[in-house]
Amino acid sequence: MPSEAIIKLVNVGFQYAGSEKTALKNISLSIKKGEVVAVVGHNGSGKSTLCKLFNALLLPAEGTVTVDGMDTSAEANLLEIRRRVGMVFQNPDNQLVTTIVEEDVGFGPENLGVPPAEIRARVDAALGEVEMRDYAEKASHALSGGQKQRVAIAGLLAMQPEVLVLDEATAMLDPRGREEVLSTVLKLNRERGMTVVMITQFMEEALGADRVFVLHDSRLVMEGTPREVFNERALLEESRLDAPAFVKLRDDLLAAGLPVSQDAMTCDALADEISRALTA
Amino acid sequence: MPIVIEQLSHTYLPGSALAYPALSDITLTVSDGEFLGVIGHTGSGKSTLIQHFNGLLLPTSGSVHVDGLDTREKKLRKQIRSLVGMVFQYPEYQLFEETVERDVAFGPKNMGLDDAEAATRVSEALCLVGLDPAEFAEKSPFELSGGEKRRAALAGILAMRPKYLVLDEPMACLDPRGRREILALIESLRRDFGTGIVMVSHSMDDVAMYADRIAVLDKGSLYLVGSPEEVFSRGAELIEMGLNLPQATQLVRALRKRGVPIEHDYFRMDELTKELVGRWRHER
Repeated sequence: MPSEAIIKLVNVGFQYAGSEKTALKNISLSIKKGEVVAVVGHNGSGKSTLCKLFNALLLPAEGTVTVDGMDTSAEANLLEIRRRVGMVFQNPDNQLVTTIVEEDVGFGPENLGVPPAEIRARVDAALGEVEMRDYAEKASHALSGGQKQRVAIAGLLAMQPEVLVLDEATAMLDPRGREEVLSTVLKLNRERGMTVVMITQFMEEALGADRVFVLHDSRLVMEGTPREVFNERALLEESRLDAPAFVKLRDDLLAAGLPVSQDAMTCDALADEISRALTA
Repeated sequence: MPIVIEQLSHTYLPGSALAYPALSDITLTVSDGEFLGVIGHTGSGKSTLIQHFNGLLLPTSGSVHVDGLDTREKKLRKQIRSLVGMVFQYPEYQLFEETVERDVAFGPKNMGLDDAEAATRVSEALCLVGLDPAEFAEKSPFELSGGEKRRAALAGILAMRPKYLVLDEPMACLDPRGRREILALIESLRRDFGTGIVMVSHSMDDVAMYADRIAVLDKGSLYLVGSPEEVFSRGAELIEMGLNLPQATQLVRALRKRGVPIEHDYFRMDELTKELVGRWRHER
């Protein structure tokens, strides 16, 4: 099991300039190397603010944020931190900077001063990872939303980051686009040990995480495995959230006396349990 | 009277080298007080189609009539736009006034209503979307939370008391409770005022739960229109065109694969739950 913390927050508070409302209050958490973490919370709960602290796009007003031991408040660490923690944002149309796919993927390493031959190799490898190599010479504007997000991820991979942060990167995509992006990052985690932080409004997506953080009104109110978090139905409701549909079904079946496992939270897992119970 | 779409085709940039046929030969009627769901893969023509419902786009061929009014008639357009309220994706991006009250009043004033009537409409619309006028009317739209902004934008449309409400992905990016609140609001407009609803959505569960009929678009054509039951019983075809299925339908398919003979094509989780619990009790 991975244990070393790659991102660590200690008593972090944050407030936007000119705003009376505190965006984050006294947050302490740590994310381990190789972990998949989901951050859920209602609109305005502070999820995006939290994630922008992870690569020093925002700096804490109180407390400290460290990435791989480096304090994000020290300007000397900035480049190294940004290289390590890559962010994918919500809108697929706002993230690609050039007109051709492979130029876009090469943009990051070029900025880092990577030699041209090495850039070529990184771009090819990164496009391979997100299964977009066939589109290398295509126009980026003609891609679907899911493809654009995968190219944005490839652009980050070419900088060889250790953490990918997805700030509702699937929110504007259709179901198939969402699935493409999700399976891409989970594969990167599985095969490359990439640490993944995903902010999401889709509770089903959080089921794929090792741990889930729940934010409510600028505070971290819950943290645990998907099973632990989604069993706290009352607390979720209070936080304006909801359990995934299959978790609710599981609970309804359990309440009616059907012997299904508490671990069954997905369609396939529940189908296994139900068919076992009904044919026993 | 309904919205009647007859043999509608739409080509972007016709006659140019970039001509792109987005819709071909669509015939469809939206009845009074009906809830029509519109589903389709990205690029299937959903947004192009609904922009014809109030004359924002005009047919390249074929016709669209709203309560008998032809959208191609320029002089009817204002009347058509007050009948058909259009809520685009991320409507909160279109808030622009200094206060919520003025933003919501923009539509009614544009319709030529006097100040007193506009004020009545504003407070009625704010109450409908669950924003207390006493608290919100004088606020700047930009002080509101994401969910509140969305509701304020919706109030701006409702203040025109449209007979039909056309919504493009109205729940996108909202938190689970925000989604439920918007859906409940849309459903109550239909129930209490008989407003006809056309809702484009990627969420098969939402469409399955609320729509009377579902129109399935594929590559610019109307592939199928029918009740949720008729549409979701054709799961294999929907998956083939890049769509997914309601979660209950997914589970029915997964159970059948495992040899559990579920005859009915359930698309609502509550009904499937009843069936499963019934079977369990029967087995005992």
